[in-house]
Amino acid sequence: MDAWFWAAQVLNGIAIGIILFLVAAGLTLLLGVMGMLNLAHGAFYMVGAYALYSVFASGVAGWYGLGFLAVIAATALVGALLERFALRPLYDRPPGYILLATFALVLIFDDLVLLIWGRAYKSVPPPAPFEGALQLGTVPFPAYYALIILVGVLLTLALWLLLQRTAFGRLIRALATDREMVAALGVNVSRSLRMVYVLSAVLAGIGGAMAAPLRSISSGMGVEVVIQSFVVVVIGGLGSIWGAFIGALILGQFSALGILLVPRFAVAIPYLVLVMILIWRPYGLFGTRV
Amino acid sequence: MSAEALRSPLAAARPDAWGAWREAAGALRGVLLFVALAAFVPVVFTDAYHLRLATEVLINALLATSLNLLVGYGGMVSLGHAAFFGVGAYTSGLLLLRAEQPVLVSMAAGVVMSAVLAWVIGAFCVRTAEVYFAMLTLAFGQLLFVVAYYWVGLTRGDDGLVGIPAGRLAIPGVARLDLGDPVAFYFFTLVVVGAGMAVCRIVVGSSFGMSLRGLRENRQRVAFVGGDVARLRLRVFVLAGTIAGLAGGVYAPFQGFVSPEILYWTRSGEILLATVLGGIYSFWGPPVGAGLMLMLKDALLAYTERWKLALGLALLLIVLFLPGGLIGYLEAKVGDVRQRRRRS
Repeated sequence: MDAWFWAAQVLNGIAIGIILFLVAAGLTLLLGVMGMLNLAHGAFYMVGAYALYSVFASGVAGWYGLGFLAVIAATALVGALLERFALRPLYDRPPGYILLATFALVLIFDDLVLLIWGRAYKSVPPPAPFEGALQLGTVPFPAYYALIILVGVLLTLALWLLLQRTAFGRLIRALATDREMVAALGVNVSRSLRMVYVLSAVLAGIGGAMAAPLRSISSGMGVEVVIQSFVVVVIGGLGSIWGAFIGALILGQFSALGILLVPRFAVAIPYLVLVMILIWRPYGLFGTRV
Repeated sequence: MSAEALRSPLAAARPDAWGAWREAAGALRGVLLFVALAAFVPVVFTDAYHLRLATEVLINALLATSLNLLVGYGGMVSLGHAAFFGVGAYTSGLLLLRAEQPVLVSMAAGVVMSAVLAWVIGAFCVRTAEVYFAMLTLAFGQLLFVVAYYWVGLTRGDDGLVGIPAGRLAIPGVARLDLGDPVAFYFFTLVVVGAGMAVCRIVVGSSFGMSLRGLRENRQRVAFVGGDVARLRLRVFVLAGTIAGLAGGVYAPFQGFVSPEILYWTRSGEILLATVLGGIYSFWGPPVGAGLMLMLKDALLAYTERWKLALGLALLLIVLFLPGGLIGYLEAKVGDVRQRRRRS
């Protein structure tokens, strides 16, 4: 095991982390802007993966590019519908109701995808140019991981630009600080909240589509990933998007190492990391006391 | 200003011993009525299937009531409550299966185990609040799930503990009751659940219960009037975990089968959902909600394989259109009728 081997491990961890970040970024946006604990967030990850599979299974040429457009369209549509009919009526109620509604959505989506796509596990290959392996020094490194890191970094940059450099980003940050004030200034708050929800849904959908070639696509995948992303969000500190970024990278590294060193207990790692960090800092790395 | 006014309001809420006793007896009327009504179930439903369903309803009712101590009274939303139920179930199941211990001993061990674990886990969790609290309870719950799943030598992993005997109740030389009989097990469960509910009801009515409601409404104020917030929160956490362990302790001999699934976070979510559906601001809401949810699930399973979809839709509709939970809705209706009568 030389330095190249460990470098490949670190890159593995970054690839895992960056997908987690895409899912967790949406979660933390919802928490920061609306105080919403969206348990159904994994549903978009799942819908993203299944949508990519559907386009792949249809056998069209250029399925990966088309698939991504389909993923964005599908998750945006599902997100907009859910927000309008299942969540918006609950905004004025105590936050517990939204938690419950999103849990009900978890149950609904787990069965709904079985109804549409059947019980059998599905799988998708990486897009053609990225099926092989690159040579990283002395060790082979899957080309698809390199693609994930590249796309992930670009998306993270785009998200940063969106939040820091555009009018919409300013609006989101203002909403997180004082929603009433924003409303008083004449902004259509309910439309803005819907856009935040759709944005978070699309991010999770893209995360799911990017993860799809790495794993089997099944009905339980949403439930699994939402917990890991919550861990990321909490490690970073609620509502802090850069906290979520750091949290995702930390968890990615621990997961990659865990799979390597203690494969049987790899599932326990996110929880162990969370417990250790919260015992050390009860409000996450970048969170402030609520 | 008189000395009376200077005393801590928490101290003022503390009744003397005789008052406490009378209060408890009064509070228990509801529980006694519940047990008395439930005792008629085996008369109405004589078939084993419905009796078993009724037994499970009782167990879930106790579990939901224990969670309500945390969520409804203490304002602490836990997403890891199934873990304590699971620990109680695994402990009692293992002792019954491997050590062939009497059922009461096994259950007692389950209760002790879940109490100890709730104390350790609670010590970490109560330092955080709101979403952090929910997440930390979830993380600890998932850790216990991983232990149950991967410690194959002890728990048989994913296969679960199979063939747990229902056990016997015996007072040497006096009486002997074979719990393998569904009717006998129903009454055994009823006694255990009744006792658990009684403990919860007494706690809720006590000065400790008052402080809990204070925690829910405003922690800072409780601290300001001299309440030890962290200690109060830890106490209710341990109590809720212990009662959940009791429910789990009965579950293992009842079901004869325990698998890691009963500790998974979605189970905690289901209990939480049932609790809130029943109505968390009342004592009887959560047990009613848990019972109804189980019966709904049972009915749906009879018609469709897609019970999750149907249950999810039903729950979503209730959340959207019955804001106070079922009991809250009924209370509001009853209130309306009473008001109308008063007016006329």
